Amino acid sequence: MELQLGLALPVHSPLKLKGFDLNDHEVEVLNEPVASEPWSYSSGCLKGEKWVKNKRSSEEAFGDLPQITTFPLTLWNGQPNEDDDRKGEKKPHILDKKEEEENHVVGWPPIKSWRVKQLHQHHDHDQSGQINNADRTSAHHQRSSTGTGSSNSLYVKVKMKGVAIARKIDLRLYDSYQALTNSLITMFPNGRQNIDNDCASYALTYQDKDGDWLLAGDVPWQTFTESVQRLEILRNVDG
Amino acid sequence: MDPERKKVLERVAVSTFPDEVLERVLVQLKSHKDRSSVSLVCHSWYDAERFSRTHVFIANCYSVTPEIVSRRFPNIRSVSLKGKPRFSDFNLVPPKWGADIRSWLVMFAAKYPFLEELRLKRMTVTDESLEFLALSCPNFKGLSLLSCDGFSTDGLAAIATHCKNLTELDIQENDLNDKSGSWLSCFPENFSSLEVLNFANLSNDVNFEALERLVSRCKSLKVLKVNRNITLEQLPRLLIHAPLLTELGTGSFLQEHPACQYSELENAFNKCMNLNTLSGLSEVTALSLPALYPTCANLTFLNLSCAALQSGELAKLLVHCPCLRRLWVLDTVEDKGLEAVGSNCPLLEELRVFPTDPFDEDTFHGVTESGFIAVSYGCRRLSYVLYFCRQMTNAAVETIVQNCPDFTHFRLCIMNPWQPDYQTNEPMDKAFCAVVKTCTRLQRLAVSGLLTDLTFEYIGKYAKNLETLSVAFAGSSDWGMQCVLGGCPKLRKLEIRDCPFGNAALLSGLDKYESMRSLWMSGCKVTMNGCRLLAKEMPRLNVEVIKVDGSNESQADKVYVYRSVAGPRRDAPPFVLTL
Repeated sequence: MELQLGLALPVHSPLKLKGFDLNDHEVEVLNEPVASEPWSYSSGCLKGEKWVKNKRSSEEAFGDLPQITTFPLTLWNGQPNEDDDRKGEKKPHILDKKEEEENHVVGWPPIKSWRVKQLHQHHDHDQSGQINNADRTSAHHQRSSTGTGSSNSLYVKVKMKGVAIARKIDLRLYDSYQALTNSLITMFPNGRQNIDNDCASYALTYQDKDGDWLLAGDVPWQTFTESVQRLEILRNVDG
Repeated sequence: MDPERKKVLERVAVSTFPDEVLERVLVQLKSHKDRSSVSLVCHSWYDAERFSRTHVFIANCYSVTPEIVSRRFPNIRSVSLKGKPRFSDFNLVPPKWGADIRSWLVMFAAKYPFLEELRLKRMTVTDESLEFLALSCPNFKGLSLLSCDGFSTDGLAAIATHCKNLTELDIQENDLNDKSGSWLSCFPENFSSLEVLNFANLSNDVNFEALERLVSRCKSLKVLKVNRNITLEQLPRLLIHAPLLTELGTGSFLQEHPACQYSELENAFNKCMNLNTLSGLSEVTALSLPALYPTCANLTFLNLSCAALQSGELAKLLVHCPCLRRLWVLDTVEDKGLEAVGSNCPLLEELRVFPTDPFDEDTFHGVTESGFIAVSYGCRRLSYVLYFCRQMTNAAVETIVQNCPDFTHFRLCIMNPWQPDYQTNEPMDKAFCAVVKTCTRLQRLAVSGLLTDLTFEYIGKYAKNLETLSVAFAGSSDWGMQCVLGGCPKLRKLEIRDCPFGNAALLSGLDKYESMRSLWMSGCKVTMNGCRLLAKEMPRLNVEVIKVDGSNESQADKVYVYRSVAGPRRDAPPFVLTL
């Protein structure tokens, strides 16, 4: 079971956190993600509601603190069923086009831009493959390649919305979207009560090099493999 | 003799201390703080000091004008200038804000044609300016650009071409337009005076043969920091020409062909016995790392912040570095790696741990409070820490400062805003209270995590030596900021973002701001009216509001307040309102 510490934070929201009036901000949910636009989803969790209280509710801890909107740690125990309608969505990838970086609170954490660039390069060209493959126990680095020139493997993290356990797959093993999706179907449990077994009701999305979330399938497979950083399978609620 | 100087001397003749002697003594004074004190003693000392000063450090380029500086100090050879507020490093200051070096260079060309050194931090510098500098100051020796913007490698080419006596070219962390590496080839073939060359942050290839020739010609080269395009195979060819190197920044440390190059590398490093600083090492692996071991014995500063080392690799390396005083790492080393730091580096004074996945809160790797605690048990002399983590507890920090009470710089960044102590779910107030109470020498503090006004009450009350305070996503009300402004007698820089501090807090510092260098507040609750009031009450402060597109008319989104004898800026762009 994978324990994931996640925070339902405005870190990934377009909110500039001015005046702390989070209630003012609407969050758009795009129904039809288009390849060239950032995919954004959120269950409107930010509208006028406090963040979901989890085991560690800050409100319970210090009820009389004035007006602090705290963000409880979302500690999952790995039960998939708990997560269906989670408002405190662990990772609301709400992207603001205006933001230059993946991160959406401008300038936070306070890391100089040249370091951020270097980190992106590092994630793209992670070449210390031998050591990484041996020691990595988690999906910390999304890509790892062995050898120096062409990589012979291309691991990316795959998550399914609502499932605690993420997977890592080697994209080099597939040569088409169909092959990929066929494989993914077998990887993720779909025996949950509320889920359609019809795979047409799932959407495969991916995050590209620029940090944007796009719907998989619009670009040629080769282009896709060169730019994909990670994958996420979403239930397509609008059918 | 300058008639003004003659008058001064005549006046001084009656004093018991001959001017010439005073000046000879004062020339020895290097610290600008000491010099400031000296200049305040009396008129004759003021004058003696100003004539004997050769280096001027201007911490805020808008606090004074070039004219004022050149009038007071006629004999300057070296200038250090800082421009934009520090939060510009994190994109909080819009582009074209200002801090252009141009007007200063015009003054230098006229009044300091013998200028030798220029060190700039967060200034805007154009290629034209660099060329102008190179052509106007024939004796120019040292250029250092840190976190500057506005120039390209063409500007560097101009410096390389024209500065015949250049000893230092230090280009760090700048936002420059890296067009090509051809600037390096602009050093003339007979040029040999370079002692410091740092182009680690540039991304284009330089001509390696030109670099090799340059390094072999410059027999006094002490500092060489190359960019990551220089390969491990090329490195020995540079090292053999630079036996005097004390600081080395390598390029890529990835071994393409394992067997053959290793011995060459080992030999090269065996010769580098004067190294005290090592950096670079990008793409380092466990295979190439051991080549460094012989050279590590005398290392005092190891910068691994571009090398994603694992804990085991770091541990093996640190065994060879008993003299380390400064260590920078990425959080890939994890807590286990930090335990190795605690075990192997008893002399450590500075530790910086940078995050590898700052924007991905999925990561449950990185370092935690345990790593920090482990370091504190082993490195009792720790005085500078910069620590990025995702979880922390009050108890951990209390233990840490008990072990290391000598902190002068404590910068803790819990990366998730408003995060409480993850074990007790309380605010992190107790942590920072412990820091300020225990670390009496604290000069610089950066706070994070869930914090109430209590933290700031303690800071105001106990942080007697605090000079710089950085606050983000913290506090409950105006009272917090009021406590800081009401206490902290030595406060010079206060930078705040996204805190619930408003006009009452801003205005409570009326008496304090003139004794401070600057105040930055962004994303707070300050309004235009509050700023106007401040500006009205304190005419010797520059109160500037940076307007952000689409914001409320009456809100003061970003406020920058600083003391100045130069009056309001004359070069402010339209989005900067001077009140």
